[in-house]
Amino acid sequence: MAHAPKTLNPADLTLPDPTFVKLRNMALGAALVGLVLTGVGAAQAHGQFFFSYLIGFFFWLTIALGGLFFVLVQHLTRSGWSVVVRRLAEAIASTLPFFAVLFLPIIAFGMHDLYSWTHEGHVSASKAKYLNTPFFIVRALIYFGVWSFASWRLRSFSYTQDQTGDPALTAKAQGFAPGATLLFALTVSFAGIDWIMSLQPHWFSTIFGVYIFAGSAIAIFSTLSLCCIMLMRLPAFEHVITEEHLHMIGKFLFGFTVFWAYIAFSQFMLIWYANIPEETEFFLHRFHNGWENVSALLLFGQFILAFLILLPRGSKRTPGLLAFGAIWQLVFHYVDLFWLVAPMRKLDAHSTEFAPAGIAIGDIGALLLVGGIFAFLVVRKLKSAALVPHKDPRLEESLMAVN
Amino acid sequence: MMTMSEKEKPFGIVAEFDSAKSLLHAAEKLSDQGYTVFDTHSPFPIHGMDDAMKLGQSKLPLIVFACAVVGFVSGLGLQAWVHNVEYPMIIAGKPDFALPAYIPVIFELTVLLGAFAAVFGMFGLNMLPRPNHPVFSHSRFHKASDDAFFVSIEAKDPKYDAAKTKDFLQQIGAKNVEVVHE
Repeated sequence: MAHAPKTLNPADLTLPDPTFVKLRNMALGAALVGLVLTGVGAAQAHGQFFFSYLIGFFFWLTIALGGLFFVLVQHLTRSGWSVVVRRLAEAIASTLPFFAVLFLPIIAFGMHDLYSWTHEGHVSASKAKYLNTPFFIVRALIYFGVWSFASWRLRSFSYTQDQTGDPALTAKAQGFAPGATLLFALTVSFAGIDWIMSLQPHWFSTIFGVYIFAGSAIAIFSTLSLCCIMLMRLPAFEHVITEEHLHMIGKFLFGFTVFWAYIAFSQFMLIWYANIPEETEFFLHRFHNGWENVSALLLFGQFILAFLILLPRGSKRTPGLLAFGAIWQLVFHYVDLFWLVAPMRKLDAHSTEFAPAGIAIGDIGALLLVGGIFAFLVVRKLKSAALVPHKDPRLEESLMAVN
Repeated sequence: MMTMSEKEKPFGIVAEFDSAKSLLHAAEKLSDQGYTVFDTHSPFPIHGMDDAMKLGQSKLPLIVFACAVVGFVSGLGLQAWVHNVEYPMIIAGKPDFALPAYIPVIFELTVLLGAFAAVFGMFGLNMLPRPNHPVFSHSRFHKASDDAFFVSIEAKDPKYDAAKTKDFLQQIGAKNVEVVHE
């Protein structure tokens, strides 16, 4: 058995300069390519570009929200094993305020194309009390406010502890977590309803917020797996992040994969069984016009095959296999969001007819653009402090964690 | 009583250790020496004991997976047969092969048989229930559920040699080393 050193040297725990420069340049390169493709996509999308942008924006947002969820839950449960990987999630969640800026183009230019409830008389007066542009903006401000504040507060406890080593900061984070978790649950649910569900303003599903959350949990555990596998290649991390931590994260990834399927099926089953037109509208769009293939892809990709890939113990403990599973799930998380948003695309700005299944240049552009910015912000944050909260009172517990 | 038990076949040697830590070290040393048929007994689970004893992976996950597959197939098979072959009925205007409606039953049967396999498979692999065991005849073994730590080495072990094994155990710090009988 390898016994971990009891204290870590903080100097070893920073992101090495060559790695930092490489990752930063890759992120900026992706953003630049994304910007070009976004321009091309926007020019030829006939007023449908903001659907592409919404998918790309929401994909990376769910990862950032998952990061906040991860940090919250570790403090909520006084988790010991996760100390060595928590800073990755803290850095990922630190991007949340910037998503408010990335949301501005949608508010400024995209509302009319995306949300039919902004058109005069499209929804009933009672629904318009909730679905109207000013209230929509106020709610978005509240969501970003809660997320930014919660992620900043938890991060600052942790970063201050690096300097002072004060264990009371851990207790403060634990005191902060329960209320913040409650607000997180509410804001994520309502953000999902506002930004995705209201694309079809006559349709509603009471489980929709949970569905968005389940996808976001899959996204963060996939991302964390990949980040850990990258860090494990650094010599200083050989005995810091181990296959035991990968196994823990892999189990969460597997668990939330099943959870996502459970929620997705719960939503589908009731609508299919009751067969009421106002509810079936959602699946009707996704079972015709080529979208039935995307639906099948999602069922097999995000659940059935993912379940079998992630099930064996070895696929959670072997870095290469876990990386495969994590990339697989991230790809299908994108397919999931694509499946939620893209079927609402029209043929062109003046058409009421929906476009058949297909991917647009703008989809790839927005994915790379927002992703490049997101990755740049994460890498910059990771560089700004130690990669491990090395004065956390539960550090040793985390270093010695076994499954 | 002593004369009675001495005539019986020896089961093996049971020895006591002071602490969880010394038990872990003892297990490491025994497996390093090449002992394979031995066990450790403690009032609580000890982290790292599986590695120290070189136990390897349990077969339980494979049993659970196999039974879960049986649950899945029987859940699907039963409903498909009833609704399509044996007694087709139109329910809520759905087709005979209404897969979404089958899923809850398939799911429940998969989980049920998987859980049964986990519990009863564990019993089976541990050879439980078992009202008595030779190690219980060690004079202090009742303390294993309280505050004492024991190693038992079975006579079946190829490395087992009553005198040498006893010496080795005493060398690595064992107390109350006793030979127990079937």
